[in-house]
Amino acid sequence: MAASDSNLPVFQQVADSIRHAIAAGVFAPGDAIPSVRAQSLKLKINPNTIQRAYEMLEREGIIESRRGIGMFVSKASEGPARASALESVREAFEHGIRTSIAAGLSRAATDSVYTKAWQRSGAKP
Amino acid sequence: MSDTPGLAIETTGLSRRFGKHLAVDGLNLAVPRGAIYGFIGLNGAGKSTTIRMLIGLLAPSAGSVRIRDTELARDPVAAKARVGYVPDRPTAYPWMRVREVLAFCEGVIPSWSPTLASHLLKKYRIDPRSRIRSLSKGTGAKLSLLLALAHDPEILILDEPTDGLDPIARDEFFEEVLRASLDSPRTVLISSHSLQDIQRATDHLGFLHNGRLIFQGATDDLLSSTKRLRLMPQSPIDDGTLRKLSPDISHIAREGRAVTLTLRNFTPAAAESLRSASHSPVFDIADLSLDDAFKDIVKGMETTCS
Repeated sequence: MAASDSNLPVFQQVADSIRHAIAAGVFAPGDAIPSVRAQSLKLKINPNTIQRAYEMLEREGIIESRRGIGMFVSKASEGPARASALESVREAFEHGIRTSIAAGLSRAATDSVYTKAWQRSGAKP
Repeated sequence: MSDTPGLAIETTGLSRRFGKHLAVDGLNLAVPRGAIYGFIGLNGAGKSTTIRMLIGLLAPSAGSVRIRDTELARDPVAAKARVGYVPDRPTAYPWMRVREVLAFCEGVIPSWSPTLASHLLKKYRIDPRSRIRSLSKGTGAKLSLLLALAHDPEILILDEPTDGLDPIARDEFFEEVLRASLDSPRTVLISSHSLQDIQRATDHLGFLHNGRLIFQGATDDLLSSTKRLRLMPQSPIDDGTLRKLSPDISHIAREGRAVTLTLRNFTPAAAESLRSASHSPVFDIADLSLDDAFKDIVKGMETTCS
């Protein structure tokens, strides 16, 4: 679960990597996630940064802390995980739409790029 | 906890002159307790000179250093006892054996803990019978860390500790620094010319350039407050006009018709007002890496100062 090397603030990279791990089934609802200490030593990332990522995920309802035991994937993590996935998709599309406008492409041309990309992905139509 | 609660190291107007050359110029460092503070600057920026003043090896030409609640100049013994220092190159004699170095330190450092030293020796997997000259660079760096930690200091100061280490040795070294900070409430100041090397381990940063502190703050704040804004002005607009639009433009780059601005104190509203003032129909906002943020701030300083 290495955090990516993108230019996002590191706590967001850490939070994203946990969201992705939950979405991919690496951690199921009710599973414990690694402690701040273990995560910090493994990723060589500042413990306060890991803590900040965990606090963000806790506020989003994706993980919950059980006092004295640690952090767990929350039983109701699906709703918030879906909401944050939709948020990342929205940001990616907005970026694409701005690129389209800057290049002077029409709405129809942009829609067709989207439709073709969806077909190429092999996902259900 | 009277006047400055929460700071482990604080300098006020710290300066050092060598002849005509002002190597360190009015530094106001504020290193919060418990932080891992990355002290970043190009070679020759004044990092080592600053560090040598922080640990009392070099007297400032002006200004002062405070270690927790102790003025360094007023009570150097008490202040220095709180600090462990990892120099940029190993100081142990090459012909000595590790255990001889430890015995020597035990003799000269009053608060040295032989128990802690032998615990760290095992943890770092250093053979006490080895000669200093036979140690790999990575093991040598860990020995320096051990020598700095064995009196259990509250503040750990490291001067370019990972310079010359291969990526694996560097990872191992950072793991031990993080462990040292997790194991007890310790403050760490670590200098480097490479932001990339240390940014993930830090939570606070100070950028030193030509002896002056040009940024200081939380690592993540720097990333969320500095953005690149790409504009497509409909008619040409020169740098001077752009700079008049916002004092927060730290760097301007051009490619064809596109203008890319590095903006400090970023807000969506500031981006929108620059877009409309520059008559750009569209704009794009990009995050930038800390390395780029640092380079753009430095380049911006040079443009503004020249």
